[in-house]
Amino acid sequence: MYILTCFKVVPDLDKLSGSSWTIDDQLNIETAFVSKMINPYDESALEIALQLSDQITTSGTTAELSAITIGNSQADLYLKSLRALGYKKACRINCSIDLRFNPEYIAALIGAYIKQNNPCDLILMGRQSGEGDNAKTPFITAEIIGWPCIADVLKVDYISPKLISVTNLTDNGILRQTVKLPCLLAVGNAPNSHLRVPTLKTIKTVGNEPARVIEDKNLIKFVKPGQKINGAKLLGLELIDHTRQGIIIEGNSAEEKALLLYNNYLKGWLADNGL
Amino acid sequence: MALTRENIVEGLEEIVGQEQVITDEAVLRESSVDRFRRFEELHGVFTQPIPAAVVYVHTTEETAAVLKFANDNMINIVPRTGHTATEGGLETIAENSVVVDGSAMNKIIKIDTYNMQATCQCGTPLQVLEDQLREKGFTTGHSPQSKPLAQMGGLVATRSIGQFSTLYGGIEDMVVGLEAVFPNGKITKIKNVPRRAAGPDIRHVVIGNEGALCFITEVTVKIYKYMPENNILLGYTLDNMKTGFEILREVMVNGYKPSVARLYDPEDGAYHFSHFADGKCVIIFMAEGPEKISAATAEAIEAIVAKYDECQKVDTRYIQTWFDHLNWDASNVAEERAEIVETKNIGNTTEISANWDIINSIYETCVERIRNEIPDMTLVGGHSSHSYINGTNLYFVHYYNVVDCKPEEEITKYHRPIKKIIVEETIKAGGSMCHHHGVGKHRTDWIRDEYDTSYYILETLKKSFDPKGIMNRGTIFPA
Amino acid sequence: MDFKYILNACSADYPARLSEACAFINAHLKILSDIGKGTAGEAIIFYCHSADREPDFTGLPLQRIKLVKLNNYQPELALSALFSIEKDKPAELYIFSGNQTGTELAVRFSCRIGGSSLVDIDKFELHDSHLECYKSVYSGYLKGRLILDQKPYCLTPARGIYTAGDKSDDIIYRITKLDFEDLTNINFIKKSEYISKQENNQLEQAGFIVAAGRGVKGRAEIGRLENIATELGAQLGVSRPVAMNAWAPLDRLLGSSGTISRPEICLALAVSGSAAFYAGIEKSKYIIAVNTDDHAPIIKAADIVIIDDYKKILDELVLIIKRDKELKGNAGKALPEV
Repeated sequence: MYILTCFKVVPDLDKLSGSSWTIDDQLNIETAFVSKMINPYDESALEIALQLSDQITTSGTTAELSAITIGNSQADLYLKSLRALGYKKACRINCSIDLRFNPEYIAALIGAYIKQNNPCDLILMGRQSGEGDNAKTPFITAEIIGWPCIADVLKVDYISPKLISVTNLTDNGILRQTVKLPCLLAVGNAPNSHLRVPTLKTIKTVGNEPARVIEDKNLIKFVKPGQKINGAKLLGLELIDHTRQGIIIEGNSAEEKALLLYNNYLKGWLADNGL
Repeated sequence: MALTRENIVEGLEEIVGQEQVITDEAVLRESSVDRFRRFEELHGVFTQPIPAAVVYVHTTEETAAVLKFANDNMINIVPRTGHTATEGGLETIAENSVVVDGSAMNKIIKIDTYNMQATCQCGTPLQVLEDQLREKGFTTGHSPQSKPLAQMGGLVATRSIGQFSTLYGGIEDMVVGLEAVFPNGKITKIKNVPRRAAGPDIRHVVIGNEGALCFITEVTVKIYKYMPENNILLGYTLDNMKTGFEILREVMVNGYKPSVARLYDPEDGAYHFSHFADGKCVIIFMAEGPEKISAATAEAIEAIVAKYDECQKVDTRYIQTWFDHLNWDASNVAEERAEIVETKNIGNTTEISANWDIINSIYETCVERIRNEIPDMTLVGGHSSHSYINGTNLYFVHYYNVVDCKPEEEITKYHRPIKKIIVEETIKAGGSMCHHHGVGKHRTDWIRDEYDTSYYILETLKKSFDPKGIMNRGTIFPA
Repeated sequence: MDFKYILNACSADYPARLSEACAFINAHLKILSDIGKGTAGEAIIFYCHSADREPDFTGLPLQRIKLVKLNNYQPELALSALFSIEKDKPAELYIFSGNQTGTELAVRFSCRIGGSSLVDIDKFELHDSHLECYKSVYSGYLKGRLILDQKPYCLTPARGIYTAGDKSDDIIYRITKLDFEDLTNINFIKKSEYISKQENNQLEQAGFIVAAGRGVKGRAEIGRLENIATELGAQLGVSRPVAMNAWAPLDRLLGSSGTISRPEICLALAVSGSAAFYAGIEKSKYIIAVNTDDHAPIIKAADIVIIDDYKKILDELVLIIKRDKELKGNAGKALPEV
């Protein structure tokens, strides 16, 4: 089974403190200074693919894992550890344009990558990532390549070379389906899916071979004429102010503070709302 | 005749009252270990004898009574405050031990801004003391990674050190006086004065005793003016650790006192710095203090670093963002625990110190040996974070996947063999096997080698102050 | 030119999405009237073959209602049906529900019909050549202003904003019925079963929420908090790390990827205040934060703050409330005469 997982390296936005959120004239946010991570939904997708591959191997058949990302060389470090974890092909589509609000372009590149002789039975990717928060890439990709897709996937299990079991969260609850491949899965809040860590030994076997890089312009030329490759245009950004009163209850003990909270605020609020 | 668990609990309840004696099974189990055995703990495996009780003491007198009761009845006592120990110092290796917890003694007794000292009880969280001081424009100058969780008694008992030590020193440079209770119930108080030459400095019998000699109930530390507006952060990338050690040495030897002086190797640095270091070493300084001193220190450091071609200056904002997220609080701990269970990947640290002439070879040898000899390693690296005129420390960081072994075998398969390499190589070269976490219970095999002929002095302390051996058995001194 | 509002009556949250539709349409009434000329505009409502009756749409401020019957709800089926209904004469604007169904349909339908899409928008404005939308971006830290310039525009409203809409009661509906029951060509699904059914979202409707943040650890502790919450008459909500560790079921997840709650009172325990989680509680009338870290972002984003260990405060609070209840219970009885 050929499994492709798409991931994105993103800044850890929770590490940007209040004053560091500055918006420049080009509507960019300086995030270079904060540490980077694999987008958490994509991290789950990468681990789910590894778990599925483990199951396939146990059953005596073979799985071939590949991973792709789009962006600058910041991702190369992650590609290397993915190779050490068993992603046979790990490649980066080099791209310097602003992708924050352009899932159409991202999906077009993924679609073109797949069409360029990259055999594939199953595609996994995170449902969204936190700069654009577009939540569109998996759906657009599915439309471009004409595959069915399943949203908010939590778990994937192997059944046979052409069948998998997919558990996902829907508006009606948690659904488990037997799915015939090919299929695209958008991974949601999947419990127990922290990405495993490669050992130094496996990293060594990968060697210092640089990551495989494809230029975006070499792929985008394969996009069907007329296919939309531009996302929404960004006109403005503004910091959301969550400030409330922030009244701090002072007291010498937990008991005193709890009592002040109850008597001065909570009791009244509970009563006002019949709670 | 040894007392039964029930007798012990009854005896303790008579002294401190029922409410302060905890016998809840889950609490007892959790109290049989510290961070050293967290892999076992996370898997719900407890291999150490479960203590008979955890006693929350509220006063020095209560502590004295509890210790005397234990001494009279040969009950092993494990003193504890914030429960952040990393080296097994809080493991209850003796049957029916009693954990004496001082975290309820958490009053800040006096902040004296004229004499520049602050007195607090052992259970005062450092963060609480530091916050109160900062509100008034002062600081303890002490900032270990565990600051949000650790408490004053434990910090003194383990000879802890903080991120600003190169300027402010370790806890031993900060403590001016303290109060401690010995196993026979004797309450002792060392007064708070600027200096004394009235015999040996007995503060050092208590500082770093790891609960193996006495229980610390009160501490007085120096305080300093807090002037963060004068802080200047500097960061550089460089190719070699050896160059980094040279730079650290030159800064120290020429008499400069940055508060932060840290050198990371690429492996250890990757987690924090991979977004700018590009696989290189990173060296970071912070100059602090009065405006002119801070500026002069920063200028001098820049001049020193400029002599080394391989150093590239890094935008300060990278360093500032890293610096803002340095400390561990409860949420970091919670997340770490969950990830360990899922990925079976666990990390530990071992800290040593050595003179300038041998530090780099210790670093190279240990990293090389661990890489080659220990299976399933996922990361081995380290950093230097505390420098002195005659040398520096090394904080080895080692992560591995736990493969094909039971939770209780993790320590013997991985953790202890790694520690063994680091400790043996360090002692062989002439360094110290413990820089700031204490000996705990897992480095006692080498304590005689560490002390050599001076072990006589250490051993005599134990014999004199804890003749029955009831204080934290197996800690510092082999069981 | 026209606009269409697409609803899915097969989903368990249909009543809430119907209210959302009413509120969203009313909030944009002026713009929508400009497009739809008067109170025009059409609702397309999918419902399942298995439903015992046709869906209720009372209150919807649209005259034209198209009821589309499907064999069962499967996104691929709904998409095919919608596309075949709309392909010949697409409207200018399509609005879908602010749930998973809506997001998937909005994005995929816009691809098929050759339009443009944006999901989770707070509001929009119509201009001659484009549609201007406001939405949360950067994990909820920033508000973005974005434009779509290719018709038809496909949108979904952000969750938690359009809740209690004024329902219109004087509309004379013109109902069309379409049957797509024969459409069954979704051969990629071989078998399908619900492991757990979402009945109604208790977090979404709770008046009092206890929100457990990143500093709360362990399955046992979550269980304990759940009991305490019940005792206090509150619902427990958890952060993403807690849900990801499977310490609590996913329907307890608060935040931009979980439930957006809007209680009167939210007691936020050991919540750091990361924007993605805060999105799940920001519509609370009052937020009480208990946290040991006085630098945590939640401190400024709460109404009342206690800097302390949440466990201690919660234990005390439970005792106080119990005591207070007992006192109240006794107050009703006649006091003994002195």
